Amino acid sequence: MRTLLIAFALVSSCASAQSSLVKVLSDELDRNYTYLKQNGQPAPYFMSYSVSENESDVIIASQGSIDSQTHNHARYLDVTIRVGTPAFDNYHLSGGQRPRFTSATPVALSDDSDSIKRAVWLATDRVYRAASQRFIRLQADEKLRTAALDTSDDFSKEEAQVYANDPPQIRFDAQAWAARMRKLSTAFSQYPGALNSSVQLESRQQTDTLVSTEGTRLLHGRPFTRLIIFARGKASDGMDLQTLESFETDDPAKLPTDEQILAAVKKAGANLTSLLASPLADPYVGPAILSGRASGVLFHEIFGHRIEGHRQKDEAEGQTFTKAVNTAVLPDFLSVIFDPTRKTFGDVTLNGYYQYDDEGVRARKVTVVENGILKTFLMSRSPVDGFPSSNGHGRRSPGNEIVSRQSNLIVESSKQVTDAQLRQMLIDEVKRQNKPYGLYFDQVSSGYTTTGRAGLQAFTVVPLVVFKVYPDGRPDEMIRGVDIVGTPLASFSKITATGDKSEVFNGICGAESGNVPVSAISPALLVSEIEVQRKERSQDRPPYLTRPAEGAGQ
Amino acid sequence: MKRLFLRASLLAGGLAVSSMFLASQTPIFPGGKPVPALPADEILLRAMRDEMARIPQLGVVGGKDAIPYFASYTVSDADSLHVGSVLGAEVNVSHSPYRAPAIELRVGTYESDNTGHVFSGAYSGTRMDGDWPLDNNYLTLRDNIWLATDRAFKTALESISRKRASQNSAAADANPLPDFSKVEPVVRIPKLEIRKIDQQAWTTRANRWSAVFKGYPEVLSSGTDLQVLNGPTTMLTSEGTMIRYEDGLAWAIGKAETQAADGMLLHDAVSIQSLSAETFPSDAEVLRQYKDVADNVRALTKAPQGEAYTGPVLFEPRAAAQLLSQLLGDNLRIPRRPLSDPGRAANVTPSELEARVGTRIMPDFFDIVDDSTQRTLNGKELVGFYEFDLEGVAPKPVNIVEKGVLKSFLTTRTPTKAFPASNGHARLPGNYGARSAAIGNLFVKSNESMPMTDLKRQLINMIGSLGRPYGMMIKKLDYPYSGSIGELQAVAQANQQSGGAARPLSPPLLAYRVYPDGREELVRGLRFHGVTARSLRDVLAASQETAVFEFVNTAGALAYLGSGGYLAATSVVSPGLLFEELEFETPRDQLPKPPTVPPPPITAP
Repeated sequence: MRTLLIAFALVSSCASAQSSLVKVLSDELDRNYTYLKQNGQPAPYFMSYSVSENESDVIIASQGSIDSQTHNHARYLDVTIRVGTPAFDNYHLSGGQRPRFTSATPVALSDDSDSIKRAVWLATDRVYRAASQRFIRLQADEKLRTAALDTSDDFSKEEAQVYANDPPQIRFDAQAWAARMRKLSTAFSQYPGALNSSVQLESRQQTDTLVSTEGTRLLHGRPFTRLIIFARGKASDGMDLQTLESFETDDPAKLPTDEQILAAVKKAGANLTSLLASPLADPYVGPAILSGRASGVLFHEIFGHRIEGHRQKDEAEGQTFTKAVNTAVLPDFLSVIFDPTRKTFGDVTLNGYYQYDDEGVRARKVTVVENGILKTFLMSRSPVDGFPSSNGHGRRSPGNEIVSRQSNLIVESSKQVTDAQLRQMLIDEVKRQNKPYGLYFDQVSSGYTTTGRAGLQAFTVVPLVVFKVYPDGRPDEMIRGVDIVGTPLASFSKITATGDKSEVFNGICGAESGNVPVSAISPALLVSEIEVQRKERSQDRPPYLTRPAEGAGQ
Repeated sequence: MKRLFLRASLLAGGLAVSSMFLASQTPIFPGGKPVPALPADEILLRAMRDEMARIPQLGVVGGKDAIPYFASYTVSDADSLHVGSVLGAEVNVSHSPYRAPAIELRVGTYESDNTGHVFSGAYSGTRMDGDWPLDNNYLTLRDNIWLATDRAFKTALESISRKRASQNSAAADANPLPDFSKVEPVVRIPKLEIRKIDQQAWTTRANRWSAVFKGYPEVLSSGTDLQVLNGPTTMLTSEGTMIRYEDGLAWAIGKAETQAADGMLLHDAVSIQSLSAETFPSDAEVLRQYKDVADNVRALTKAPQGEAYTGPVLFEPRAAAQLLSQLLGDNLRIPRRPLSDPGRAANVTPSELEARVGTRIMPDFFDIVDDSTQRTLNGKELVGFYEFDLEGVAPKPVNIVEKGVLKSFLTTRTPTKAFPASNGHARLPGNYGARSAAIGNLFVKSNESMPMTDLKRQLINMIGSLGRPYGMMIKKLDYPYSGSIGELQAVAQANQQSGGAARPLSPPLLAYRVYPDGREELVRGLRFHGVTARSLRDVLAASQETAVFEFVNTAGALAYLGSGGYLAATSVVSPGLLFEELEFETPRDQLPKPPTVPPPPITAP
């Protein structure tokens, strides 16, 4: 009890020097916790308040006009209350049901004590009711159930963290950017196949505040800026096709020059134009090269989601790797590292960077696979057998309960060859397998995977730009309408070599705990066998009337 | 501001300003009314006109049964501000320009088109059109209108082919109604601009209002929500209607909630609205109404729980207007049942009054008129005023009830039996390709009336002769509904179980027992039991005093606050009403415990 008091005293002197929001939250935390500890039945043993503040500017321009220009500012509160004991509390998994107690509560944008405390108190009351109700039910249910295979605790012990760093305020000149965006988006008018095109800019300041009854007091955050170039068209057979280019950085001032962005606009337009004219792909099984970006997405989907810690405990999950620790899961020349402390790769800002995770655990570099051998999982404060502690990967977006999630995925290879060699290896493999051609996946947009036990253990990656590579020296031929499909374990064993340059795919990953920013970094991969299926396609025709011509009807 | 005021039918008469328009009149669709030439700065309208003029080319696609015969483009432009504030501090501010397009394209004929089928409006293809540009850029607008038109056309083709297939297998209607009525085109394009909203000033105001609740420790949860839209709507139809009109709204909701010692959740709210930011009530007036809300919640926490009651009930004018908004409002439209495949149910809530045209629905001293052309009453703005409805039709005054007899309904361009034409009340979106009619300014007039004090005396006399300890008087209903969604579901469920109408009725918020000595006692927790439009026949008397009750119709159940994207501001003017007999019940809901932790003290009132 004495140590706890000292910790509190220390903390509150720091807090007052930090931010008034930390002070308002910790005052209300102390008041609610003290009261509930004495009067609540069941009593909480842990509480935390986190406020996620997001201020963003979004401008969308299309063909020289502004489509949308918004400024948003919001603060969302999430309340965590754990009743019972760390060994068995209201978050205990039962029957595959993952509970949700919190809901993102909007709170005052200024540090107004009266307004914020009222919102915090009401949210605490809601969460406490739900938490105690579930805990009482769990206690009764537990007597009826067989013992779980995983006997680990429900909540890990971690060191309290005190840190305050108000992230640098970024300057965003909306008027100047609107003018630039009009100009940049005009270039798409040279590509009439782009029925729909836009240049979208989002500049966002994210600030996170967290206080807990263990003494954690955190204030940290980062800016995000993203420019997305997007074009969409419809082939004559009805297939919808799109191309995408993007730039990520922290400060909008660091975005590339207009010339560089225009080049990307033209690339998206030209790629779409070629895709619209390209032949439809046939289903195919055979060797392929995945570009670094495509490989990053593949790893994120087929590997990353399966080493998230909470999936090893949840008996509704497929648990592909649960029993595979210290065994080979990838070819021995590959290692996979998750490093949320890494801010940049080359000159690219990484989406998956953070200092502390959403449970206030300090971010750290985690080597998940070393030379093909699985070493550990991505851990939040929800332990699994053999892994009692968090490694700083508990993440969520506001309104969701935290689970372990990916950060910056980095694939490292000790079997690197140059691009030219990799291409030659592909051609050799095509010949060896006696296939008419191999495939080169240049760009992918996204993927998804199912990890549940009830569903098929499978994944899909949606490529945007794919080429046929012929063994006889003919030029590469662009094709359209392919999805990469497969089952995870089978796919890993077919990786035979990698390129020597890594690329970054920055994205937003959606899962149980909401959307979180992530990155995947990988060299190009040569796979001896990949399976592609034909993309589901829309049946409706392109527009009946011709595009309104310049000067028409004036 | 200079306004052009032209009706197409008057063009030939040669208004002084119309000579420039006469120069190049052309119809948009062959055979339609000519529309005037447009000045160069009417970029949005020119883009709409030029793209609409291409629609007849689509006639070759669907065959002779699916030729486009009607199209309309409607664009609402505004500066839009939304502020949420709690206890004097803003929790949400979003301020952005806004351009919302709506497109309608009909194929077939006025008699039989793509609407009125259970799948009308469903589209299975890809949506290629996106937001229309905020900039008035002619080519970008054309491009977006082109894609939006293409989608509307494909949707119409899909709908009409499904409809034809259903017609093939369903028994034919002996007296089929036309699908769309004709209207006289209107041309009226005043120069109206989007007016910038002062974000800082409105945020400060919203904070000032929400701070009222700081003075009420018994209020556990409170807040204000403010929405301001300032700008015009522009519409063009292939029939030759070309209009622009002010289409703004400033709307504040103030709400306070608490919990009684026995766990009952209590709340009150106020909805304050005006047709523009400029005509919004003063802070003093808003603060007065917010204070009423807080005082009501305070009074409710001290009030005893009400008991089940059957007997005479007196409604003060505001509460009477709230009751009539519901009992009449939603029943004054006749929705058309869509064509469907045999055996497939279609979701239509019928009007309780549909079969009662020409019969008495109220005592013979009542007249009811909807007159949405009336801008003001006694010098004050009426928010139910509007120039044009969603179909571009100007509202006509409608005599709904004459001497207690139901004479007419509110109509749209979708004909119904006995009401083939629109009277300009298509104010809300509807189903199956139609719009939904709603009231604008509803005036309830009584030709026999007495002061409220006399009505109260009559109530006391009635309970005396019935041997009752008290009568009931209602001062406010929870309309528009301001409770939680959970409570709303409980109200709807209770309504079904008690054999009420198809639509639930808002519960009373301020219900008083009136004792024989005239004393009034506030009670809480009552709901209506079995009250329907039929109950209006039990009105005994009306008061001389009247109240103007105003709200924003969101098309949600009980005009639920914050439920809908569609906003039709509405005014109802009514006297107080004495009912011979109405019934109240007490809810049987499970009540939550009060919060374990006491509320944080307010430190800076």
